[in-house]
Amino acid sequence: MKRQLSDLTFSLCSTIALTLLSIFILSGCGTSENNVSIGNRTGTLHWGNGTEPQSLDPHIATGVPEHKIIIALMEGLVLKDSKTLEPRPGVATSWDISEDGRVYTFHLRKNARWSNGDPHNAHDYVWSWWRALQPALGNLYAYMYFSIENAKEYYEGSIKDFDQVGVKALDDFTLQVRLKNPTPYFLQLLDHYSLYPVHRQTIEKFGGADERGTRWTYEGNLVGNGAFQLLEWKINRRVVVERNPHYWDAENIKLNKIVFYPTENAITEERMFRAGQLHYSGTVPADKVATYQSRNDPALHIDPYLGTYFYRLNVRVPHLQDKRVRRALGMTIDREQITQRILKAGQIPAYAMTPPNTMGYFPESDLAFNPEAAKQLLAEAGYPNGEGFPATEILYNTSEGHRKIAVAIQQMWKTHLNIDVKLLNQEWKVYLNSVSGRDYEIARAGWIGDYVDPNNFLDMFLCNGGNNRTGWCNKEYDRLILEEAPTAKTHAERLAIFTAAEKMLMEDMPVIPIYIYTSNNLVNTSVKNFNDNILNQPSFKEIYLEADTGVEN
Amino acid sequence: MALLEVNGLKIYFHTRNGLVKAVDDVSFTVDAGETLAIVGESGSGKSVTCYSLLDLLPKPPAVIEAGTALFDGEDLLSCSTARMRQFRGNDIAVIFQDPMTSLNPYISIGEQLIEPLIYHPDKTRTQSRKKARLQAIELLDEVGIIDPEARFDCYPHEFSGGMRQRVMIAMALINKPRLLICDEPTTALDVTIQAQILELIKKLQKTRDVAVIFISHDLGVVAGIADKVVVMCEGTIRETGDTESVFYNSQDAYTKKLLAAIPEGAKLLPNRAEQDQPLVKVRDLKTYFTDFSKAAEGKKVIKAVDGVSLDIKRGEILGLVGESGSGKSTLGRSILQLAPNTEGTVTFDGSLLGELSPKNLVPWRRRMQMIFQDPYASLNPRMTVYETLAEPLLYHGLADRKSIDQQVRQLMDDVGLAHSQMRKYPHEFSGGQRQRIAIGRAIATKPELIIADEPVSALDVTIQAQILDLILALVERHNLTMLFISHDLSVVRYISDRVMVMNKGLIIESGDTETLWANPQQEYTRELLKAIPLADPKLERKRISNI
Amino acid sequence: MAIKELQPDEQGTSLWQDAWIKLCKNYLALFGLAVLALLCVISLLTPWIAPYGYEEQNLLLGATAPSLEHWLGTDIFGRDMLTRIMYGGRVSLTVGFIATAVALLIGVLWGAVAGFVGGRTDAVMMRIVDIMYALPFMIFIVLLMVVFGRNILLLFVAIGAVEWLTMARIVRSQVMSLRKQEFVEAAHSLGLSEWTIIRRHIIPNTLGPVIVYTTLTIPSVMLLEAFLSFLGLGIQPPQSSWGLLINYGVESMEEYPWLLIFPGVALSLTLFALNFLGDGLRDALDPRTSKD
Repeated sequence: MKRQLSDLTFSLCSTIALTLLSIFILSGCGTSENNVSIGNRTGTLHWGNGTEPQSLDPHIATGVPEHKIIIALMEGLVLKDSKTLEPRPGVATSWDISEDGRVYTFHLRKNARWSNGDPHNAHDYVWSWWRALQPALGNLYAYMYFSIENAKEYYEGSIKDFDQVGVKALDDFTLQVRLKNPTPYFLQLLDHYSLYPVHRQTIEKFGGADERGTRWTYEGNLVGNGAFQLLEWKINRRVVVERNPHYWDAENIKLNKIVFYPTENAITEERMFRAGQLHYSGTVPADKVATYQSRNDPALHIDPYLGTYFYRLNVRVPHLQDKRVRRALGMTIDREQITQRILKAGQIPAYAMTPPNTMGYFPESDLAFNPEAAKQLLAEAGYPNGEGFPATEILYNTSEGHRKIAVAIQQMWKTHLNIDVKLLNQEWKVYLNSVSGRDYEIARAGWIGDYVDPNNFLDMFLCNGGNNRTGWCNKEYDRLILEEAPTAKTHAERLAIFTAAEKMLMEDMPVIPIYIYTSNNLVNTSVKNFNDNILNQPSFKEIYLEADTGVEN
Repeated sequence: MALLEVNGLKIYFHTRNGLVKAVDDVSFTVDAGETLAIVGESGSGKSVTCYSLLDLLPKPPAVIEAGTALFDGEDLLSCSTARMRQFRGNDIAVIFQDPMTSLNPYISIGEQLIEPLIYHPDKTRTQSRKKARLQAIELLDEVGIIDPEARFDCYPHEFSGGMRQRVMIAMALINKPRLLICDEPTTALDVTIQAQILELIKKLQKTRDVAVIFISHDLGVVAGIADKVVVMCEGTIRETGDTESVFYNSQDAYTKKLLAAIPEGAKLLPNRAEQDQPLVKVRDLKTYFTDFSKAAEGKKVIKAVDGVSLDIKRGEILGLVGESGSGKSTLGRSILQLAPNTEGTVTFDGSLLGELSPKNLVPWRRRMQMIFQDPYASLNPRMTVYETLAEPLLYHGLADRKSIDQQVRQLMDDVGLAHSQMRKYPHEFSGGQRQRIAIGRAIATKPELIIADEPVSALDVTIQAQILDLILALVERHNLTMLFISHDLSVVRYISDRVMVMNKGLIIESGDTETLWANPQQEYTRELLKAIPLADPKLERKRISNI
Repeated sequence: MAIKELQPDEQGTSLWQDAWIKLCKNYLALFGLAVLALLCVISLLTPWIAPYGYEEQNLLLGATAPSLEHWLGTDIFGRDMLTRIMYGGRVSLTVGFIATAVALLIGVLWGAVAGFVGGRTDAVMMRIVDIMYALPFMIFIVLLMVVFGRNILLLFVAIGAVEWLTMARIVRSQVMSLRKQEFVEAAHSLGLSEWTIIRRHIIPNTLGPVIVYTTLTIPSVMLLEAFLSFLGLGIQPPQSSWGLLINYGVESMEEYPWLLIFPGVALSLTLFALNFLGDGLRDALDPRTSKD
């Protein structure tokens, strides 16, 4: 009895407590000094970081929270401009690109150091990239290397000798990289953490080079080459990094410390931000966006984000094999209403997979909200007025946001196509299992770009693309992406190939794009030099803190 | 001046069911070194009166409406809590009825004894542990604990009931109180132990010169030790006087009724036993239980009944006496097949009961019934009198829907209950009335044999007399055969034709009641008979001094 | 002999009639009963009296505060909250009552048999209960769902199958103490069969705690349903229940408080009504409480 009673009491109490708490917070009880004002004084940035990082090993980590911490601790050859995302010198001061665009020669700076003071040079890259391509390491981002000559072959085992891979230290401070094809976005990849260098001595001290989960990333062990070094990692409480005195640009770093807080619950994190416990929160509950917007709160940053929210259709399901059915489903989603009435944070309705203006690429699509035509298509497919449409489920991972969209779409399909669709939510890992096992009919999905290039969105749907997961396969599409695009002579020609490919994709509609993400950030006004960009990637070395004078909180 | 002087005490209980005047204008005095007995039946207010002196009543519902209780000139009813604690610690001590629940089972008795000495609130009176221990051992010796030094570190469960009560007495005396309140201190004890405890209290009172208030429902118990007697009934005092005058020259009708109700002498009705084939034949009956509890250290077989043979003749009332733990109740249940028969046979009217399956036993069950000791527990609280009485009739097909009302009414007439009470629930009845209901249920099936297990032990003495007469009358009218189990020898003598004495699972002596009384053969029987308290002060004092 | 007419005061009443009379004098309990009856009637009639369809969205309208068109406001999809709460009540009350009934049936029987028979049977039965207790409840339910598929009826059974454990323990301990009472022994000596004894003498005497625990189980079952539904194991949108509505309401309680308040009021009202009724029933069914 006790158990149930306490459950009951707990839910009731927590509801009441939450209400009281929020009233308390809203009434503005900022008398005692909070994290933000202390941080402003001491140069400590308090950063709401979503969830607990799974790993800080750049060749193992995959998530966004890990990303934020790793970019503070490590650095690649090339950095990106925090506004324009143009390449900027990182560990490499300059680079030469050969005529045919296939050979990159990087000139490394001589004053680069690891955070323990060890010298940092070109050999570190050769060793690190060798490590990243060891299959035993299980690097999920290994494909980021595949534009390098023979990297894919080496990773897949058809080449045993790493010397044949196109990475070579010409001398201590010169690194040469040979590519398979000209890859316009190659410099961008270098700023992705999967291509960051790691400190060989440290890794070997705590285990094998290709061993997962060794202690080298733990508090007190980790050695990096970034602007900050790891000071403290308390599981589920905080990760603290402090200035790295050995960093080549150390004198220009303004922050003394960054404290990353893992807060699973977006609602809680937003409350912490409001209470002045955080300088930054990267997740704003949808309903809160309107509140911030309505009072023109300068803390709210809404910016386009290089990511697409879409539904996968399992084309192996009999009634979804018919592309007319898939198109009909795609054409009866009123994306304007979803973005304006449900999401309400400046999201853009998506009619193609690639977000518009990705390196100057604007996808062309004949997809539109057109219930009449959709009805027609469905009738042609054998379901006039939705009659006899088999039972179909939308699968989504348990989350309030996904549920809302699914509920809206469920009703849209009911209204416009007269079909009954059920909803099914699963925990994240179960959901991943269902989707990759293709045990679903329609499944919600999202894709965030790793680098700014249409290729990053379109090569997902290659016949054997690991993230395809729809069962859709089109040889012509594969040819365009794999053969035509890499050998295109000009940027315009390359974009034209992508346009053609994307048209094919939308024509067949194995995926229904719904909207383009926005990044919603809450940034305290005392955080200066915080630049928004479509990768939503902060530049900690540029940020500094300065309390606004006069106005308290 | 009297040590304690209670004047005009009124205690009312404000309950959901209205006002109950538990104590209504009660006055009495106790002199130093004197023993005052407060006698009354349940609900007379005797315990409430004494508990109020030590502020032990739950308030609310209890409210002391009026009165004073001067102890050495100081009013106990209006003193502060701190002062009351001093009284409790130094001047007034209490002994409760049940020695088992009054002792903490997790602390050794020695530790419990010296606790008030070494943790005394008055710092000047605290003692070292060593000194306290010596004092406690001396006291244990005084109350008759053999080898007190060794027993000092024993736990309450290692003592028998009588020994525990001795420990309780020692605890009460440890701080040398001037007034000792004994609330039915011997009611839970066997008759032989009771005699010893009474003697002990009397001896201590003399040597230590303490005043004693002795609360009891039993006039016989009081007769030997009291100097003065107060008779209470329904919250008021009916009579106060010295013991002789109350017992020999009582003017009060109620007191007379109490005295008259004490069972005395032999059965007045003739023995109706038929000499032919006995109704019940028990041969070499053994009932063993296995004790699985941890304290028993592995399997321990308890031999509750260890080879008993007896005959019950048709029409006779066979008394079965014994002290607690003698196995007399188990024997009764074994005969009725309510307890397992480990060995031996029970023959009822020529049939071996042990060989019948539970289903085949049902017709036999109709012919033999049981009356239980506790009329509060033996009736289903959610069934009305009507339902309780109708159930056996309907179940055994002795009545149909048409005749059932008539039959139930007949039963109620038999046991002396008003028809208007037919639809009431057990809680609405007094103990005596409940026992009437239980008897009614037992005779409903028109049984031949009734086993009555201490049917009057839980009843007040006046009620007890009524129920005993009822049982006698019913036996007569319905031609019943009865096994009457009791620890109370006077009761057994009053009702039985023949008596058996049971001890440690065995029947050690049996015979016609009066023969056995006059000439007990066994030492144990003699002890038992000698221990019966007599409701006659002179005889009783003589009896105690002879023990 | 002719059967006389019963005298008025002998007429008497059965336990249940008696209970009803006593219940009628307990205004709080009557209030609880009335509220529950009202909620049940509304739930039964919902498809005919609901002002809107429960899945009828109006995204252009969005979340609006209570108004004349929408008495309890609308949610973010523009769905009428009154309608949603009415339909949610159907699910919640059904789950609450059916799952509790399942728990009650299994728990009382299991506990009564274990307590009454005792010995080895009792030990085995109670170890089963212990094992079920130790089994993480979520795993148990997920297993059931995996084996039998998602099905609202199964949800009732699954919840009931988990909730009976405590009931069984309560009943068992009651029965164990009752079993040793003399009135049960008296029933034995009357020759009543074991089953009759359990039915007539044991179970009625366990009613008090069982009723109280039942009234506590119903709301906790409703919240449990919400939890399971939230994890995708229970009912699915657009269907809803009070628990789910409250869950959703919590998330946007600052912006749209009515989304939390109204379903919360509905659930609290039920909870209070059940508690009042439960207390009233317990007292009414106990003949020891005075009739006046």
